[in-house]
Amino acid sequence: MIGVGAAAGIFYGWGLHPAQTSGFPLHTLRADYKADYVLMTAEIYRQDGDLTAALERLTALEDTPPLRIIQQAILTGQQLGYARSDIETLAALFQGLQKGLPSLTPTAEP
Amino acid sequence: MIEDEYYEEDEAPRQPPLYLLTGLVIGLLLGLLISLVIAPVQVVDTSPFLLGEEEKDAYRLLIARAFQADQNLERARARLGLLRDSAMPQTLADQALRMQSHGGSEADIRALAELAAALSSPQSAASTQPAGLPTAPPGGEGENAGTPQTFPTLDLNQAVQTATPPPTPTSPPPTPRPTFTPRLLPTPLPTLGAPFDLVEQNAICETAQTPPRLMIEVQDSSGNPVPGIAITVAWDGGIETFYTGLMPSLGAGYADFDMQAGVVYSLRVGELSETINDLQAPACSEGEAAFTGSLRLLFRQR
Repeated sequence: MIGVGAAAGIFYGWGLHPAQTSGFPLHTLRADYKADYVLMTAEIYRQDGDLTAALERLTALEDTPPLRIIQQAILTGQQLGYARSDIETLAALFQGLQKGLPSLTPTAEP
Repeated sequence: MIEDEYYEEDEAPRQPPLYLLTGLVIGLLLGLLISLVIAPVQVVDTSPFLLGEEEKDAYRLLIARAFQADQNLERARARLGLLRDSAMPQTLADQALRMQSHGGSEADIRALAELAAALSSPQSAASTQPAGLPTAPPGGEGENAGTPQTFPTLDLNQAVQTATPPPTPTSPPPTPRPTFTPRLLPTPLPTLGAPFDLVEQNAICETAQTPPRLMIEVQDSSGNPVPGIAITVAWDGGIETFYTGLMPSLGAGYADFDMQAGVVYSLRVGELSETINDLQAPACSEGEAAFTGSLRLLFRQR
């Protein structure tokens, strides 16, 4: 009976009534939303050229090296069929950060 | 005799299987402890509308700044749609006011005000969603709205694309079809640095207008309302800055300020305009009743 009770409790907690249903942080966003977030950051950077602000926005998104975040956004954007101009906007941010943050240059993907 | 013993045994009270119930309760508590405290559900792949309020504010601000950068209203609208706010212009304006009261950056407040004004302008309302710019993200937008979904892998056929659709092939189809909507420039943006002149000043004597207000409208040189313009009001013992466009229902270039009867105010629109001095709530009368009216000022860019 302990097993039956435990199964019911787990089903309730994981399936029926999870502890949190909203109020999630930015890093929980799906990959395509994250890519769009990065694209917005890149669009703003293209206009104001403020690398520090762009970096702050990217680090607010998730706890991953910013260049890696942009790389992932470019890959997702390519998979989703982003327009060439949008990919270029992302690439411009990547290059801007690469120049500004040489120590964070990512290694090749395995 | 034998029958009597048999009946006596049969009539003895039965013990309920309490040990089963106890086991069930212990198991249930254990399951709840595991699922809610020790290893709660790890949510991934959420939608923007499930973000926390602070994160939503950051997301909205990012959309507003991106709109300021590219002036693509349809893209901004599609992005805002992901947050599922029913009264988006007002939400943006409220956020701008919140930021203003907390000493937020002027550029951010201005971006929010501009987007709020652009969304509530008639030109914006008349525009339609261009084909090929899907805004409804998969999952979470339909019946299961409000429930976080776990998507093990990204389904690229369903994924949201708020980016510009790729260009159509070079060879035109036999029947011309619209493939995109040209970018809108919904609200005029002020020329940076150009000052605003006071072109009209009226006293508004309406008894229903309480408290007395300083009502300001800011227009560009063509007479179109301009949102996001900082207005600084100073008086003996105080100074306040507010922005046009934070009350979208009253116009993109509108802003107001509650005045005190008998207090003299100075006002400046934008950065380089002349300061207007000696502004006071006008004394009005209706029959024998005297009251304090409001003041309406119209500024136009040079």
